[in-house]
Amino acid sequence: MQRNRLQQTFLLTLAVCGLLLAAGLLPSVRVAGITTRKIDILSELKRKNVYQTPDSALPGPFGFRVDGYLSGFERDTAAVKVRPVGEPLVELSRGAQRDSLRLAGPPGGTASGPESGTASGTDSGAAAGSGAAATAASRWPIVDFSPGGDALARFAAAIRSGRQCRIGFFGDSFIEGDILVGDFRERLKEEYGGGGVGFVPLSITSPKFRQTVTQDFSGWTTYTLVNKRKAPEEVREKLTATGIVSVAGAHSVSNFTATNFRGHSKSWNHTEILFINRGERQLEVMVDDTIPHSYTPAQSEDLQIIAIEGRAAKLQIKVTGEGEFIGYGAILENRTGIRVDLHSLRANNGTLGLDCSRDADAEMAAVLDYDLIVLQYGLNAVDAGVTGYAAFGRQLCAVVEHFRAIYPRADILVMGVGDKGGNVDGEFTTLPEVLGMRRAVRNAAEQSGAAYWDTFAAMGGTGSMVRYAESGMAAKDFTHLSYAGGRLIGRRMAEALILDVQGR
Amino acid sequence: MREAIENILCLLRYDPDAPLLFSSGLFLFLFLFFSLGYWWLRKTTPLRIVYVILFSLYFYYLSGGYYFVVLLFVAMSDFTIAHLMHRTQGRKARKGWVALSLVINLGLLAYFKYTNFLISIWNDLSTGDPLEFKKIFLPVGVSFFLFQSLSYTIDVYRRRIEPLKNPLDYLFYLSFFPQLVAGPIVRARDFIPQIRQKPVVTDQMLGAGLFLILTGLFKKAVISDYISLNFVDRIFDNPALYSGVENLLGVYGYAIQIYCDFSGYSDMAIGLALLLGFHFNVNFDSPYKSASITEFWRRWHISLSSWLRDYLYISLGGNRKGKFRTYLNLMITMLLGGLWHGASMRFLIWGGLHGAALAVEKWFFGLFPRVSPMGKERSRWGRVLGIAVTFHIVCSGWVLFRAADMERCKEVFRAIFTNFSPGLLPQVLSGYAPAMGLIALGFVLHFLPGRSEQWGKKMVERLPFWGKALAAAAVIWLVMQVKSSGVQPFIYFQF
Repeated sequence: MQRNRLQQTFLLTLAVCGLLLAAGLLPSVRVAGITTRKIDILSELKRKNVYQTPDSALPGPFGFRVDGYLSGFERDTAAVKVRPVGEPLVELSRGAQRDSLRLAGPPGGTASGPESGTASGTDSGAAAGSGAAATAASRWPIVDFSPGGDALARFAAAIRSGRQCRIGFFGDSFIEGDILVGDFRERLKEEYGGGGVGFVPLSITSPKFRQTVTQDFSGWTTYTLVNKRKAPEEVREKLTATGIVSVAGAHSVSNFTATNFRGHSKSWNHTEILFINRGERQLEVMVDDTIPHSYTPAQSEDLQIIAIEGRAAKLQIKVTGEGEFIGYGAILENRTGIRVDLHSLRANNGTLGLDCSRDADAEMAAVLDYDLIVLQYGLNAVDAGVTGYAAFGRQLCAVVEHFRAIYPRADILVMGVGDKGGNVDGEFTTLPEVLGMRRAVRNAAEQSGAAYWDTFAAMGGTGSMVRYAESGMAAKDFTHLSYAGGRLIGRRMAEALILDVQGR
Repeated sequence: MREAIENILCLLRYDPDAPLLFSSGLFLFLFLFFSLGYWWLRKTTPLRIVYVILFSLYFYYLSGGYYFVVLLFVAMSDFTIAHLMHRTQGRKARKGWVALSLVINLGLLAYFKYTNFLISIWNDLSTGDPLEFKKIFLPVGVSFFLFQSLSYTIDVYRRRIEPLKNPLDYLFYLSFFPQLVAGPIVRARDFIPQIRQKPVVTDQMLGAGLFLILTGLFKKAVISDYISLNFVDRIFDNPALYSGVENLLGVYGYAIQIYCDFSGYSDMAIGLALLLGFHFNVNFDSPYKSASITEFWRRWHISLSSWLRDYLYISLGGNRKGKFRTYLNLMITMLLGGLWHGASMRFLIWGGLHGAALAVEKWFFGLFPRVSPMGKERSRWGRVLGIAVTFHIVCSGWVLFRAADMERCKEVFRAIFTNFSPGLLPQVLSGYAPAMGLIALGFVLHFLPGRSEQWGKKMVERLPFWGKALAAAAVIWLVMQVKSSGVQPFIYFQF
């Protein structure tokens, strides 16, 4: 007859609790490169719940549910579907409201102190806008750091001129795949007209990721500012701030098809193909499955353009023949309204374009001819344990000046860094390093006299990225927005820009 | 002090953002107090039963809020139905009672789980104004306890068991907290005889129980949660951003993640039950060692697959009505099994994939009777080949299971088959070294011989009291270290 050890269930649990309480007294030690953390078994009892999500269908803070095996279904329930994109997060973002109010100056005036800058998103401006969108825009206004309050004056003038207005949106993986930019573009087109998706490279790293235009390609070798060391010298010298070139093989093909993923991008009526042809190459261009047109461009070191008029929703470019052919991209856009070009390059912190050939940049700038350049950089330069980013701020000032030199007719809008989350002492929230980077980017915009938009505040402030990730509006690396999150922020940014233009 | 009391009171209330899990610190303290009372009441059976029921309901409240009333309702209705059915002699009337139980249980399941799925199908098919989706919260564990309750009424209908006399006993069976929210689906005929027995925990039970709790905790809170957060979720969030090799590793990672997650929780449930003197059947038996899909379903979530076999497949006629009906019954069973896992077309396709695989195997093994579906009955290489093929069929199914929608499923397969980029493998392995290490560890532990588990249980059993306590504290300390570790940064391998 075996003894009944039932009492040991209690005694063991008691002993384990005691040992864990004692383990809480042990200091952190570093073993084999890993630093152990002090544990506190009572921490849960000491800490109030910090995740105040109103929607009970959102997952818990650590990303798993009790019914873990069945968690797949949870994402399919309408409890998630019925929630309008972004709305609960607007309600959540009390921190954001506070932040933006600090940034905003008095109506029509100039704020003083460390957050100085002319905030043109004011109550009076909000009145000019429509409903909630305008109110949202006034919460997260564009801050004008120019001495004369004219950081976006040329852009506003271009809008008022009635001609096509062009925006170049430069950034890193945060905007890859047209995340955020696609929605920014859509909202601006709703306001100012236009159709198409703007500039699209002939080949990219992750062609299937972008949803606003489908693209596939073959036969190209892609070089970027990030891997430019791998590029032959004669190709490297043709890299520009746009970041990507595609070197044709013996038979290279690129296909583009418009999608209705976002509004105003189902078709375009003017196509341009940008390239340098050093060899004996032929291009065969087919628009909308019609009869292909053949082109034999001149052999030249210069940037060349093939322009095709007419409505299109599909484009195929074939390059055959011999010799070097460097393709930049195609512009798929109407000739009127507003054009927003995406120039995203993962792992680029903005400085990689500083040593591009000025001649190549100037040639490209003459074609793209931007009225406004948006710079989204900073998150890539955030390092664990580093909270001061003055050096990066100085680099960003240099990037702003670089773009001003290339595009002397364009205004510059610096987009602040978004939130980035992580595990801070067992709690998922904003990494302290991000706050340092947020300051550095803002200071760089101020020192450069550029316009500035505070993405971090617009996202909802501290802890917002964790909430986004838990509700499917951001990836689980707590760094990158999803299309749903990008929609919220892209449209907020566009509203802020529209409001700014209206106020000028 | 006042704040501390407020915090504790706050913790003792249901928080939808932090539902109670076996792996949470709060559970350890709750279990400490519960186990003291359980030991104290060990000789007073009625009081002990009420005590366990109250704790289980409170446990459910902390896990899923006020939906424990659904549990109470199901317990009362099926207890009553079983009684009335037992008193009824007429075959038709008995059928009526069991049908009522089916309608109530499956109706609840349909309402909570499938309302919006049906609305979305209706909206897709109809040309009129779309119906509005309902905001319905799915009670935690409802899929498990409704099936558990159905097994009772169907067994009473089939006269396999006598109905319980005391409604408290039935509530005890249905609400027993170790298996309440994530299974295993315990059969009435296995569990009910244990309810009123004096709880006895032998040295073997103590060793095995502690071993299962600690390995379960390690599987769930260390392997599964870490690789989920730091690798797998990212791949499945945006498959098109990654190369084929990363996607394939993401799929392998998910295979071990879902196994560690679910079997880990099951192990903890079985271990906790052992520490309270209850025996549950094994729920996972190293499923990726299976040499065929047929074997897989004898090793994966055994309590569900055997439930589906006994109460659905056999009810449909099983293999008694000819070959075609057998294949059809297999397909229907797995399609419904797929829907049980989730209300979406992806789960239906997942079930269909497994149903088709089972039907094809049934035909194949009928054609070649010398080839056994069981790996142990094959030659070494026949078994290895079978394991490799089965594992990849199962993994294909896991893509449907994990991806948020069909488009992302396609992206995963597209990346694997059109952009594999094997040259990136060394970079991916070194870039995500901790996650890759845990994935590898998960597979190594999984493929250890079955006797290693017995050895582990024996070793824990032989440990002195303080050895057991130290081992448990060490595992929990490790879990806390991993939980508070930083999130691995996103790494770019493709330029």
